Amino acid sequence: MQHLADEVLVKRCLDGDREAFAEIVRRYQKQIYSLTFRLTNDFNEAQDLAQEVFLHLYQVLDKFDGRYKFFSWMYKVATNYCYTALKRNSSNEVSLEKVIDFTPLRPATGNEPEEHCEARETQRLVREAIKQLPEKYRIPIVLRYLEEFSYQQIAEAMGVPVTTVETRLYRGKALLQKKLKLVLERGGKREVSRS
Amino acid sequence: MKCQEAKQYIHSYLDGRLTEMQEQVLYQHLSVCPSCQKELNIARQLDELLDETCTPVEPPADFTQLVMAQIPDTSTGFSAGTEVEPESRKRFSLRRWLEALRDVETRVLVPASYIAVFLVIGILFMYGNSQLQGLVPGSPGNKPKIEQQIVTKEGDGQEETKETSEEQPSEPERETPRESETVPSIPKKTGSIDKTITHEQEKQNKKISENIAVKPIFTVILTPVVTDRELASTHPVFDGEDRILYLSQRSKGEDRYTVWETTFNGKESKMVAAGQYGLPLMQGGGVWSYDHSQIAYVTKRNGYLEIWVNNLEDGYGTNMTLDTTGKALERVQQDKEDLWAYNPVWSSQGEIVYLTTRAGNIDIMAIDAEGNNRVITKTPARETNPAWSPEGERIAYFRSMSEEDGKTVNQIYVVNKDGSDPKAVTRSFAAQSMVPSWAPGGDMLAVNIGQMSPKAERDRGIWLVDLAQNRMVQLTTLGGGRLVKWSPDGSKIAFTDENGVLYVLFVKEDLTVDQICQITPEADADGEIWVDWLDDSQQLLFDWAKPGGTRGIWRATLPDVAKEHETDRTGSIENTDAEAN
Repeated sequence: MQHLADEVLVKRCLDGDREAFAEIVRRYQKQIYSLTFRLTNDFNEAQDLAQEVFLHLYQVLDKFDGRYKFFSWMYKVATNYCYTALKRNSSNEVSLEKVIDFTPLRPATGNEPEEHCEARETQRLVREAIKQLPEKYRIPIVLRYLEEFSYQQIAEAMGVPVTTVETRLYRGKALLQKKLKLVLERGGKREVSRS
Repeated sequence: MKCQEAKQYIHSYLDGRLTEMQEQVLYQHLSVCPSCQKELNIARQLDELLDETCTPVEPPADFTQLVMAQIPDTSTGFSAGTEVEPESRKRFSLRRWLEALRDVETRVLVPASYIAVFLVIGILFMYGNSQLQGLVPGSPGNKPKIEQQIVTKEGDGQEETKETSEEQPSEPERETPRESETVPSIPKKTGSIDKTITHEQEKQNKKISENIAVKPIFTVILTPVVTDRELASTHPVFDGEDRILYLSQRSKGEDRYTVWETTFNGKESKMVAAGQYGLPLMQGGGVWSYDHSQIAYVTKRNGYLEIWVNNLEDGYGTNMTLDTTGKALERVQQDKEDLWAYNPVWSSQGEIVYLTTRAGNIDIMAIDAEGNNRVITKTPARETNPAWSPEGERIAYFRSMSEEDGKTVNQIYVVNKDGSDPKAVTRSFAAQSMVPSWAPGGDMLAVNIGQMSPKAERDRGIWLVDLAQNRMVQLTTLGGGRLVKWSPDGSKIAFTDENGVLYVLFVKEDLTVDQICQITPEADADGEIWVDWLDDSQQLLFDWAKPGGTRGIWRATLPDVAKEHETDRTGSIENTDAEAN
């Protein structure tokens, strides 16, 4: 089963082979789970959302018509699903204009090398900042950096023109830059805990 | 270009989305806008942070089971939450997928249209010391900590509204002019450090005041000579008339370079017939003799590192460091790190010095014009970075000696070309890199000092060593890279900092700093830049690869500082400030 092409697996699913869908899940769980985790920055939310994505995928599998590669199509479906889901929940979020009130940076503990701790702390701040972006900026940024998608691929996944992707990436990064002002001005992880 | 537009360009630039022409426009803007330079550094940092942060994560071990548990087990065929229309299933055929896939691939593979028009765009670089003062050596990129110079960012509130408003991608945003794109009219504080220190005086002179003077802003013009998206071009030299010789990568990803020549403006490039064999550039190889008729290169064709010289008149290569004893091969078989002969440097007399580890650590040897090898240094110290004096009679080099008490003594030495009379010409520095360059008169050395121990940060930079008077002068705290090269008339020094940004230092007759101009808009991707001065000392050729880009050849035309001083004299204000740097 694991040697079969995606498209063959899809056909088998549609013919009622449950194991074929399980193989699709196994094959792409890491990618989808990574996507949902990078978008939500929360293990539980990520797990729920990733499950929902696969269930949704199962429901719409028959709409796959082979115009795109399965992976591209799946990513498009997943992206759209996440976008809608995140939008639904975004009312709970902190207002954008509010600059994130980062908790004071933790000093290095004796157990860990200082740098490792700093890097981890910086990454926590970055993850938090990503999470607080509006979905339309958050998704292209995650696709770009997690999957190293080209602008064209992001445009296809999101169903928007490439120019829109370009603008959204720019605006998203501008917002991140503003939110991470302190981290960036101090030279990233290198100096982050020396305040 | 407006700042707002530049800021958007910066992100596209980092993603490799700009055409060559757009890049040039951006460089042009960056050269006059410290605020956008800072923006570029921040954007690159953010890029790296996002790269490090957005990594894949492993799903829980039972994830597949969790999903499958929610999918109804039907043995009767596909059953999904939505109705499946029979027609749509009929459309689902493998053949159609394959056809569609082919379409998709062809579409994706069509490259973006390449702008072949070779534009010689003069990029105006307007730098004064003002912009350099904040460039802190040792920080990634030329990340400027130049808060005091950055034009205050205005209109933040306006930006905020823009960012959160609905986008209209086709319409570039306009903004009210804020940071002027012309040369800032208000001169800014500049700092040049003039330190005159003899070995003995140095301790007393630790507290040195800086001359803070208002300096006019100068213009550097950059012209691309040979740039190619795929193949690297490197090691350019000017032949004294109207030709530029350079090495160009034979094919992508290959460490083989053929010899090319082109006209002064990079038009009509052609391969030099005798240089078509493909020379490797490993271990400091690929260097031109003084008359440009020969290239010394390093090769491993016999299993160990050797120096060969390729004659460009007939294309023949000669092994200059042939080992007939079998010792070289034996050594490298015992220790893969052993370097029999590498890093060749030509003298004006056609001799070559090179480095070797054959005596246990790095030592210097030389090859005379007849091809005889001789020892220059054979000591327990590491001797590196050899530089020939202009007349070809002496060699300056970096000597690093680990003493028994654990201390390391790092100094520049000068030795006669027969290996006699080696002597230290500098004090010891807590630095792992000291690169000497001879002044054209042979009476002075410029030394680029870097890779400092934390306590010695203040010593980083370009120093002058007056050989006759046994004096040292620190000219800048900017520097620390592997390149330093005097101009033929001795009025300028090209050098790199530890990140690989290229600068030119203008030296006054009294050996103080007149001006520092940043030449490359960004650090070199590998931190290794090659520079060749033109005879007029007003222009220099260099190769440069922007991060993620392909190495290309550029020409920089420097400002006539003396002339600009005259025209600007009325506007200059002298002001002294004892603030430490």
